[in-house]
Amino acid sequence: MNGEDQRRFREFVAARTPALMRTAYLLAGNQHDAEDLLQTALTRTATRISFIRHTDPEAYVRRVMYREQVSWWRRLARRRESLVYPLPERPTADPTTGTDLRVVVGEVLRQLTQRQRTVLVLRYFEDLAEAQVAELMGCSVGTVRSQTARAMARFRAVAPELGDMARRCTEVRR
Amino acid sequence: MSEDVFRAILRDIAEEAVPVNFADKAMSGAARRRAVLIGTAAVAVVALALGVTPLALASINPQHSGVPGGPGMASAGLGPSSSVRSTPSQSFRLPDPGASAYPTPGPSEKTP
Repeated sequence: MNGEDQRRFREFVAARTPALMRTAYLLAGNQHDAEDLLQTALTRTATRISFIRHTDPEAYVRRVMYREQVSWWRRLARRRESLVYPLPERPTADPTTGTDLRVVVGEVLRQLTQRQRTVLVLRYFEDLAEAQVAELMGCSVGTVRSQTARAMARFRAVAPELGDMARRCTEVRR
Repeated sequence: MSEDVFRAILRDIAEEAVPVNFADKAMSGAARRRAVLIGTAAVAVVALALGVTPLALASINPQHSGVPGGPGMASAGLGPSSSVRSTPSQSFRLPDPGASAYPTPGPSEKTP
């Protein structure tokens, strides 16, 4: 990496880290894993910054994050690290207030699988189409649909007060 | 609750993330990763060379390989070729066409 590439990379990281961190936080579910995920993606991008000179580095970083999040190796490492499982408590919240809704949705998101969470983040946070999500995750459109349906079913099962939202999301997207 | 509310909740949750500047860590990590890649490639090349060189030498000069060669390979050496002539005693003889391998009864004495 020459001086010009280093300068370009530093500027890119300084400008885009907040947005990338938000996505990583949603993907990973907590601050620690989000930092780990983003740093991995940025390290890989820095390794290849000379080769992606003429393209958008952010697209490369995001692609690495999405692929890394659902990769088999990362899941294996995470399984080794997570010695303490969360208590099987069902969130009880009043859905009339926004804060409680946020708590409930956050809790359900954490209970989803990596793949399901990634699909939801890409479709509803990044606002991508099913085909784009499938291309980014390296799977078929049918897999994206089935993962979305399962995630919404999980929402309905864990938090019945979100069942209406889950049903609408599934219907609208189809 | 509609889809828009779900999107708003996701944005709200994402705001909890605390941005950290990873530029230095990423660049040092990239340098380390590059060094590991180069080191691994160098080790692979050396291992390949160590494995391939004896085989290549053996194929060029089989006498140095220690592997016993066949009769054709022996004549390919530097010394004079030793042609083996077969002597009549050593050569394979075909049996007489008239002679049979099985004993045949001779002419009977009783017959005239």
